[in-house]
Amino acid sequence: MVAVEKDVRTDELVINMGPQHPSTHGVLRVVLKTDGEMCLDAQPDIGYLHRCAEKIAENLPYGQFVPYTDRMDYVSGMGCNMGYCMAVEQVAGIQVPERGEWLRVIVTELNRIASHLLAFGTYGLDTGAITPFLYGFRERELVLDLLEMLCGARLTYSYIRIGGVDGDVPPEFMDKLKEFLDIFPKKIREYNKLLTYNHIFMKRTVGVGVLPADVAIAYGVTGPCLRGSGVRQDVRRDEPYSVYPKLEFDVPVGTDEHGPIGDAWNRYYIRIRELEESAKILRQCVKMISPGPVLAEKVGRVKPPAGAEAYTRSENARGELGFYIVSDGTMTPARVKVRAPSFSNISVLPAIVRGQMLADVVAIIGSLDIVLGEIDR
Amino acid sequence: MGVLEYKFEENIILTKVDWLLNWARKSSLWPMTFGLACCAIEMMATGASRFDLDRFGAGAFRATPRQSDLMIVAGTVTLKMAPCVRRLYDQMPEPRYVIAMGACTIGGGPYALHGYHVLKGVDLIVPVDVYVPGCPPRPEALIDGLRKLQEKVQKQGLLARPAKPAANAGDHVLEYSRMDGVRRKWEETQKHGGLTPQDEEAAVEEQKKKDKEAVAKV
Amino acid sequence: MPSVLSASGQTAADQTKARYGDAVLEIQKCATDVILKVAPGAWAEVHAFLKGQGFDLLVSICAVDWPKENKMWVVSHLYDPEGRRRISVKTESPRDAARVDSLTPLWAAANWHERECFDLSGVVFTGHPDLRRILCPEDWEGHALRKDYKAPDFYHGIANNVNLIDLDHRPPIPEIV
Repeated sequence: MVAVEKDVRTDELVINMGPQHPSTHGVLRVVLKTDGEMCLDAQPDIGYLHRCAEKIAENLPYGQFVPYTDRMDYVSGMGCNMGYCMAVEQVAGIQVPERGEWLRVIVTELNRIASHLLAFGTYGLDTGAITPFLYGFRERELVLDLLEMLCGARLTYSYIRIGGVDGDVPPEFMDKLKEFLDIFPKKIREYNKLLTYNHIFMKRTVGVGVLPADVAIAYGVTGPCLRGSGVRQDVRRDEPYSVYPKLEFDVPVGTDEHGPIGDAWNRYYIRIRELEESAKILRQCVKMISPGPVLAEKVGRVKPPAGAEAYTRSENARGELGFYIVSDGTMTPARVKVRAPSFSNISVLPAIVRGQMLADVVAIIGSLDIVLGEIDR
Repeated sequence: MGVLEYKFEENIILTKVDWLLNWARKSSLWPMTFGLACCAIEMMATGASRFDLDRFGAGAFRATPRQSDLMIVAGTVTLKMAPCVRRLYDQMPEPRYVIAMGACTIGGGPYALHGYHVLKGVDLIVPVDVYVPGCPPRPEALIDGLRKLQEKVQKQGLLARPAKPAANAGDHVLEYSRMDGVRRKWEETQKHGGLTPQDEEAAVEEQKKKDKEAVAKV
Repeated sequence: MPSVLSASGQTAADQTKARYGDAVLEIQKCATDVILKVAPGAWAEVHAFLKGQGFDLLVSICAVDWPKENKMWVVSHLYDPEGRRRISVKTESPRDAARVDSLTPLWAAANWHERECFDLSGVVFTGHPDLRRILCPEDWEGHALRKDYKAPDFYHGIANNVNLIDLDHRPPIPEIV
């Protein structure tokens, strides 16, 4: 009789994933150490999109750096514009007129919707569902049409300028926005039917890649990933900037309704719920906005005093986006440091992936919703 | 099969082999899923619901270079990424085509001057067939670039592509190229010795003077 | 309308000053933050104390180069999610010997931030478990965010200086393996 070996012996195998991989959301490279189907370690290797934005900032006048901020988090460029402009305004002491602030909030929330719709669509692709991608892009195009009315660009806007916004909205913009807000809730319900409570999707994401709250905080994770772990932290609510104090909105956090708090499904579902919250904010903005100037007068060339420094934070689609600017009294900044939320969010990957199945790695990376443009800058 | 079914039975079709092969080739260009940066989002939008690249036979995005004919280099190529791009190109089967999408892949784009880590044009490492300018190009522009590539494919002779990549990208016909514009702009900045704040101030002063003169004339 | 910014970490700054005395050189205030300026030797100690005070989230670490004064700042930003307080810690060391203790034992987040800081500004973090380049390739030379940095004209045979590249007649494509 032949003895049957009960345990299949496996060797440790190092697998290279990326930089060209359809599910790494860009040019992320992950070095995976596997034992059979089990993933023992994952070391992300970044820098394949290091575009030297911080060096460029030191060589350009303050105003000319705004277009480069678009290209950092290129799926929510308005948020980056706003973060940078707020930092420059703090350094140089510029006041933004009220209508300018309202328009800023409107465009950043619209852009957040566009960004989360992209995350929704591509996360579907990552977990094997192709249809949500087409549905997500259908509504995303509507949002992009709205943003295109303002500045002519679909992706890299530079609409927010130092001291306000580039120009007032065209007269038909508000009506179009209201139209969009009317149809949008129905679409969110459609997404939930299509993907959120889809049985296969839930099997692939619930209980996968659990990120405990204390680990998330230790790694500096912010945004939907941190809220998915049950920590109610949102810069818009905790340290309100712009006109956010006047607005009412909820900060959704992860629940244990369908599985453990902080799993991939929770991180995904936070984004869907934030779509609703953004729509809620936009509805209030449409009601409360009043006419007036949109750009501060006499901004001209920004020349902050020597030694002035400021660190401003804002809630972008992926978490806390910080800009640290140090001035040396010339037309160009001495240092612009970008604190990119995705940079910290992806650094937590080794901690989540350990002990997961190899096929789940893609689901975990997708649920973190990273943008390589801001990781590498 | 639909409309073509049973139409050609017991018939003779007369065509050139070249034309037929090229027609088949151009109508099913399979691009590689190769997103690098911002342009990749527009490339995805081109493939998605509104713009639907499938209409031109190029909607089957393949995840591996070994199954694809077309590499759309969508986004900034950095020096760290450059060897990978070249390797992917080498892995693609002949005949293969490259579309350089966006300003960064054409000549470094906004990162050309101070971007120490950015490749100044992807044609430094792979031969490029069509350049699509824009930052990022709109989906319509990418579709236009694809149509231009299809025209080019239709014109090529049978087995005309060299087995090895061309030694110099300049040998290729640069259709839809905006290189002249890029070059002119570059020369202008060189004339001013680069754009420093002081220069810019001087330029603004000059413009103000000109404006005043124009107003005085009126 | 002014942007409403965070509650200050003034109390925490005062407590740190009282605790560490001379090691805390100065308490500065900028437009948005309270900045603790500390001696390079007290960098890790002060952070450990602040972490004990509730500043659980390390937001960022970066370096600022001042070639004329021959000094290098290392700046960190901390956040207290419970009390919603912010504080910033800054230290100053000579450019050639920019060196502080690593914060990785305190925060896992510091690992990558310090690697980035080393890669771009050349600050050495003693006690870091894995201090190597993170953004640039491993064979890259120099630290890019230093003010006297000059980009290489060629990298592995690829022309990298935009002034050298004639856009009409591109150089031959190099063999890259």
